[in-house]
Amino acid sequence: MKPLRTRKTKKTPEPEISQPSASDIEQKNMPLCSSVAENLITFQGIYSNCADFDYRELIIGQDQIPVLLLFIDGITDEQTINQNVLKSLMNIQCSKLDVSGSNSIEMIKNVFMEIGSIKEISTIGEVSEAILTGNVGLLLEGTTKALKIGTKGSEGRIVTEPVTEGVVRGPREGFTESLRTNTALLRRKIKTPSLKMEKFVLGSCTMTEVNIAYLEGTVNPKVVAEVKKRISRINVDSVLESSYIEELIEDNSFSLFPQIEHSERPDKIASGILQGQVAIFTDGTPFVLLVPTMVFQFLQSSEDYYDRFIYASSIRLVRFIFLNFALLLPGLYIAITTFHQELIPTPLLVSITAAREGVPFPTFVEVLIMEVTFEALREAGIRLPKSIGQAVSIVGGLVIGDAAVQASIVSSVTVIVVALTGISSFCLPSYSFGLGIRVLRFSMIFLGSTLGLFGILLGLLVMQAHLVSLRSFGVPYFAPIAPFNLKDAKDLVMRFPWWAMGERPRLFAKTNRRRQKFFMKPAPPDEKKP
Amino acid sequence: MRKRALMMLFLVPFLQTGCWDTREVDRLASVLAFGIDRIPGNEPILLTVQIATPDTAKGGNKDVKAGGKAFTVMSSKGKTFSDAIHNLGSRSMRKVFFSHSKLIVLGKDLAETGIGEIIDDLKRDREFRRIDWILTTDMTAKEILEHGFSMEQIPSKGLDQILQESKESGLILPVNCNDFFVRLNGDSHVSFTPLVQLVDIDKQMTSQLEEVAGRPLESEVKPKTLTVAKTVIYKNQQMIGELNENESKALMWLVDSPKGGFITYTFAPEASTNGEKGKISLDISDGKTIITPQISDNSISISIVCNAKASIIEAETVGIDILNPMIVAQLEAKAAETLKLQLEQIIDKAQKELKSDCVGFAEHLHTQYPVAWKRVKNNWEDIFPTIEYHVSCEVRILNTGMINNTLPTNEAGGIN
Repeated sequence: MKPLRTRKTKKTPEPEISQPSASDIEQKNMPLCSSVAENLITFQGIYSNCADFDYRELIIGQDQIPVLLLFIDGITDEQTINQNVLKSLMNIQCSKLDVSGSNSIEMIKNVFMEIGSIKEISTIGEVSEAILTGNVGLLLEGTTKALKIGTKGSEGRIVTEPVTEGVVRGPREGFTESLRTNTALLRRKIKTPSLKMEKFVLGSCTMTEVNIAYLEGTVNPKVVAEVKKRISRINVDSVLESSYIEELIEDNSFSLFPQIEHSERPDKIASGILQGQVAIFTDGTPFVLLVPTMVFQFLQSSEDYYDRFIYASSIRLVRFIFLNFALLLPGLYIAITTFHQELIPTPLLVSITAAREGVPFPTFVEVLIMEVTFEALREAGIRLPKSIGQAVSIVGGLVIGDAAVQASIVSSVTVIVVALTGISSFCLPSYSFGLGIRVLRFSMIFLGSTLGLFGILLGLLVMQAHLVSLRSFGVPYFAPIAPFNLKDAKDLVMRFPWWAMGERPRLFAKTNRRRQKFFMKPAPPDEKKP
Repeated sequence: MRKRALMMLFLVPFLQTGCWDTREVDRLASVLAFGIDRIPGNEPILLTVQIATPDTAKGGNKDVKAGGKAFTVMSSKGKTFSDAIHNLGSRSMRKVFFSHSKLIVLGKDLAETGIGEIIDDLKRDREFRRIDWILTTDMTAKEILEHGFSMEQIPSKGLDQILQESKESGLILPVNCNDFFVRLNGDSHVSFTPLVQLVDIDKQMTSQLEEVAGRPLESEVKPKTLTVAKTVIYKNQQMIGELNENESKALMWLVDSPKGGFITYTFAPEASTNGEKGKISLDISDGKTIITPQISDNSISISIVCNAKASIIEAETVGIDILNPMIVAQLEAKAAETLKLQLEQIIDKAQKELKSDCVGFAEHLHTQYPVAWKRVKNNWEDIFPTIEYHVSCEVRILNTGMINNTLPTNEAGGIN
């Protein structure tokens, strides 16, 4: 079959990414000069108009060898430079050892430098990269090698309680913007060398460090390979937040459902890694990605595992019910009141009719007005400072709750429906999943008002078909319902007690599924047996 | 290409059906009950609908105007039933919506001349529900629908509650449209509905009280009350007779298993020496009737076995010991006898007076002896009154209550 409309196949050459340009690459690969003075001129050229670029020239040893230290002010730890780097260089003079000659750089590295992280490098590009990430570049007269001295240190936010995922019971620490702090928080929870963290640097300008963390032996190696493959594909100039990566590696860009979970809770990421998922840490954001993801994870809060399982299961059940409310309630309300009045109990129909007396708009418009107003209020409340946000909610509450009804612009039943929907949408633990539901709710309103219950059923069918067709890194998105797996379903609507969940989810951990000893159900000691 | 095809598929439903049958609720007039009468003239059907008035029916609204009725009654004439509904449109500002109706009231004239012409539309139109209660009145349906209750704002709701309550307390068997139609089309073509009446109970009682008091009572004049206590029998779509209160109760045993009800009878213990007598009331908690037809030598007989579980609710007989198993056995036997009499009475009435099988023997015969039924099918009307039947009842008293005799006896055996 011929396509109806042929697309214009004008071949435009793929534009080169502006950074780095060809000359830059050439310069990057250039070896260092043996003269310190010439190197300084080169670097001053590279870092022209960079106010935070700083250097220190000094002379070491009895042979009076000039040394150049290059660093960027602010991202290096000044104390380390003063007390460790400079001091050890100065100390060379006192020793009788000879630091001139071909092995001078090894001497400094192996004998003198009182610092943990140190590495030999040899090109301009390497030195440049080293100082941009907060290290000190040490250049020595008479050699074309340089040293990268780890003096990273920067001002960062301290570990605080995560704002988006609060818990009543459970750890209160949250990730920060610093990658190393974040990986440290994780490492503090999973103390095994099997916890691997592989480093990637993304973004030609931002040079953002990205770590993927997984538990070797538990994780499905194919997933790790897939994650690496997708991340290596990324060639952008900047990565400012983990969502940049998320959008570049997710399976279906146009789906309304998020296919990658994110969290700023170390305990949540740790539990994901422990059951065979891969975490993607991005420098500069507290949000860590977790792949592969199944849709039901968005309905689970980390607190489900900290409360006793009966309460946790009941709360999950409530969440499932209110998920349906958040998605369907306004649509169902319109469908039933405009197409299927025979479904409403008679006294309720009479009240709805009475409430609608004098309302000038059809129910569809009425609901739409209220829903849009509610979304606006919600948006206003998020962006505004807390003190003004309260004022907005009071005014909004009054306007919606009372004045609009009094003025017969909307009926009171509609207000109840919209308010209940709003509360329901707050029951969803995941904000990004909630956003998808919010968009879908409007389609359900539209379907319900044009086709009635038939339309809503149609919408649900299409949504369901889409959900079961989604994959996240090779794992069916709607698992463990489709494909159904009874063992994985132990952690679905119900949260089984820990002693009953002996195995990791089948789809995450293919081989090493045993998590713990079986039959650990606690029981009081048998008093009859001595 | 595939995506485009999917998109088209998704859009097709929007072209098929849609907004055209949207009805906003404030454009609807919900009919709560409707009644049909027959009037002379060339438009013989008079339809009366009882419509909820939303402004006033909304419970607890402060804005309710004083004296505002929660319902409105409208009537219209027509050549046929559906014609009458159609004509109602010229008077109603809103679309008349029948799906919420709970009751159908058939007027006396219509019931006597035949209801065949309205049944078809009731069955055909999807707006009418098969679970509507169907009632017959000995007056006109219009009068019944215009009459209100003092305790319930909407009379049809009150009647609905009365019918549901009476089923549970074993007073009368309510009949919904479906049951009514099924029985009417059944083997015997006999069906029944409860009878709704406007009775001036208050006046009767007041006059009785005046008799006792010997002076005129000071009481305000109360309106008549809607009462449902009797049953009307239809045969071939025509009303042919009615059952009184007791017969209506007994009918329940034959066509349905009562879940409640009372048996009240006079009881004198056999061993009683001084002729003690009193009334006993039993509350039936569970009743079950098994009807078995038997065929022998071309004659059909029906065996009816009733089982009931009951508890003593009131025992005003002096001096009996209800803790004595012998006495309880006597009580049970007497209760069974009372029940048996009631059942025999109604079967007799059906056979001799009404000559119609309202007790549903035909269905039992048909299901259990289909071949024999074919033989008698055509002249069942003649055969039914001649059928022999045998009733046996068993009442078991499960509970005599926590208390023993509340009325102490004196030496003479009289009441203190």
